[in-house]
Amino acid sequence: MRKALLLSGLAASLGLVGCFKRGPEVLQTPISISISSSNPNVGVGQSATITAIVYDQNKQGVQWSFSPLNFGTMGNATFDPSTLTATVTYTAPSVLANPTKVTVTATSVTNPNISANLTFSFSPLSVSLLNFNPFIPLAPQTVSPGSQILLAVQVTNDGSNKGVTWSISPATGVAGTISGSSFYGQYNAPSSVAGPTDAIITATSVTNPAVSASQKLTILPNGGANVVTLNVDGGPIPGSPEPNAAFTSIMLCSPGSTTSCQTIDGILVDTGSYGLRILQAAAPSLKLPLITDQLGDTLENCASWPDGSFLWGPVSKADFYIGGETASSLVIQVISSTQAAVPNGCANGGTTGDITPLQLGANGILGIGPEPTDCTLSGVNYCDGSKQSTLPNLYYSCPSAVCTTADSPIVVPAALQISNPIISLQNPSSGLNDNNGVIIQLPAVSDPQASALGTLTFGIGTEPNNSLGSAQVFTLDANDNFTTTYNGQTLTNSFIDSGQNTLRFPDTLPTCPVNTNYYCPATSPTSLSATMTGATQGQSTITFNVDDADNLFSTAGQDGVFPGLAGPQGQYGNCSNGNASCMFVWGFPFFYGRTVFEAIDGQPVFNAPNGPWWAF
Amino acid sequence: MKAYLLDNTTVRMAQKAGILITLLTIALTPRALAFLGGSEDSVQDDQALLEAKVRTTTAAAYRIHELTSPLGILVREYVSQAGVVFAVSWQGPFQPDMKQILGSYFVEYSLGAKEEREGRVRRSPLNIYRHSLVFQSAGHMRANFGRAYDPRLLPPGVNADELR
Repeated sequence: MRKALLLSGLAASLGLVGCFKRGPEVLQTPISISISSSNPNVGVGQSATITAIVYDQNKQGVQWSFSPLNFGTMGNATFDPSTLTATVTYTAPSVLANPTKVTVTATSVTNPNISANLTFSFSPLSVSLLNFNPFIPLAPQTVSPGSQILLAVQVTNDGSNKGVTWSISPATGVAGTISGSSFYGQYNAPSSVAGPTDAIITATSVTNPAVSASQKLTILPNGGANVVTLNVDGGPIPGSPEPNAAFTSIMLCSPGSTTSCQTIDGILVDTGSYGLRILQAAAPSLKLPLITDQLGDTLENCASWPDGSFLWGPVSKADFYIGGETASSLVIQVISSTQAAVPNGCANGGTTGDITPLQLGANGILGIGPEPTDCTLSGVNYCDGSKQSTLPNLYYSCPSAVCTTADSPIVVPAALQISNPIISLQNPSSGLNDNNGVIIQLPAVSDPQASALGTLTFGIGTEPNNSLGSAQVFTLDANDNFTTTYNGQTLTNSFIDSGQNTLRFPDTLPTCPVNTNYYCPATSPTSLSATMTGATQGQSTITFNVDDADNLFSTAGQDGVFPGLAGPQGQYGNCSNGNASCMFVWGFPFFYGRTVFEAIDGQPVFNAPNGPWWAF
Repeated sequence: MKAYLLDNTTVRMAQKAGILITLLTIALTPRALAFLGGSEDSVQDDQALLEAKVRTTTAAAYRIHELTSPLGILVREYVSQAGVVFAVSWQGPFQPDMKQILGSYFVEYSLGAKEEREGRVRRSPLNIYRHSLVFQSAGHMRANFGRAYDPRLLPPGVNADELR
């Protein structure tokens, strides 16, 4: 268009020059077209009158066209020679699948080389489910029998503004009922349930019934805004179950948005690490803002584990929803799905980073251990420059998100460090901060089984449903560990870790012929006991079973629940000396049949010491 | 490179600090190194380079050089009477630079770690038992503990229990 005008302008000036040289001649004024729309922001299903003023001495009008073809309709073309005005009506389609740009063109009848156009952009209709009170995105959550949830929808790009229809699955009423109007709904939980029961709530667009939004609600005897379910079901990888691991669902939204959101399930609940880490490969369409410095370099994070594996990817911000809890602008790690160059300091073990769900055994890790960020221990922040100039290999700054193997770590203030999500949790429905710790509750199991359902409750002593009660508190030392005495050994660096599948301790038990990193006692299961002693308070003797791991894996390999899974850590006979590398790892089997409380470092808890501690 | 690089950040920063460090590195290169399987010669140089505090303890059959990095990583180096480093151990909020403390054993460690990862072990302690390398690493985020030794190099009468 601009080029066409320029050319006609050029032609005009040339014509004038010619006029002066060649003498009298009728001057042909060049044709030009000016185009405008009655509604510059036409929405889906809406119409606009487009007007072209055609500066043409021949008083000819224009030919109308639009592209892409068949995207909407055009009609009612008019031309008034007295005013040189042509009009046409463009009507956009009411349903579209993809974002589309439409160009409407007016072409001079006298000179088809002269035209003018304008462009409209259209986005597909979308539906988002929201809690009505508080007005936040509806994440997967639990409810108690007899309770209700008020719902709302946000429908964008619906030209006819018809809203939604509501439905529930199963529709039999066992999982509750739903009623509602075009933009609001009400879910009523059943007055009682035989066991944990799932309901899928769906809001379907009236204008485009192909577009809907759904969310899962789980009715639990003690459900609520600060309770989510834990699925010990082998995780999200079909055929490759992760034994003894608890998975939950979360929702992430672009900061400030209630519509740009994604629910991600298969998130491993890990009390042995700090911060939310999501595989980009598990949520390909998830696009969150990165954190950049003045040079435009992005902040990257490295999480490395004692087994030599690591997670690498950009630090990002997201509004985080879990159950009815929220954490705004939470700092998380998005694990890159391609990793060309990882700094040597991060890839310390010489093994590769986990980038797929199959490698990780999960779609992400929810690190809710007893520290506030991934770079803190006992009140010291090692990454914010306060400790000393030496920095650990956690944070890097990379141009265009590409680091090199030789890069060095950088100083990062605490506010930009991967943060334990619990610290930031708020419960908008109660107005309380459930941010001092968590409670993990799992049923007792004695044999392998396909799955088990537990709960993760946010806060300790902050709500009516999360009081510490008579649980015994075990305080932690400067490494967030406590002592376990077992079979004549004093294991000073012991800890509880929901992210490890197995109980690990040095013993004389035989290891398995096949799965050599596990125990296979001659008599299975074997009942054993160990004594936990907190750093300053708490002592208890714990009995536990050790089963034949080879037998478990061969007979129940596809199961998710293995209460008797145990293996060696350190060598018995080499661990009596306060040996730091010998420890008792109270991995996942410890949680079966218990209600376990974990308080985060520095957080106050009603009627209990400040964190960090465990209690059960 | 140098011996006992407790955390490679320190080293990189030091390297970036100036040419003096480069010269020191070059001067050190021909000398025997003090990682697992090496000699203890360069411990004092490393101490200066790494701002690490060194404490030496002598037991009957070996000496222990104890180095604490500014990040709080404690590395113990067990040196036989013959001056050979036969074991290293570490504990602290971060892992030490494995390449540096394991020396030529790093490849064996790396292979072993990959093997274990391909098995059923995930997010578990890492235990590698090989003819020439015992490697144990465990803990949780911000609390790492481990040791590595060559069973063939253990001085007579020394039990692995002493390597802490």
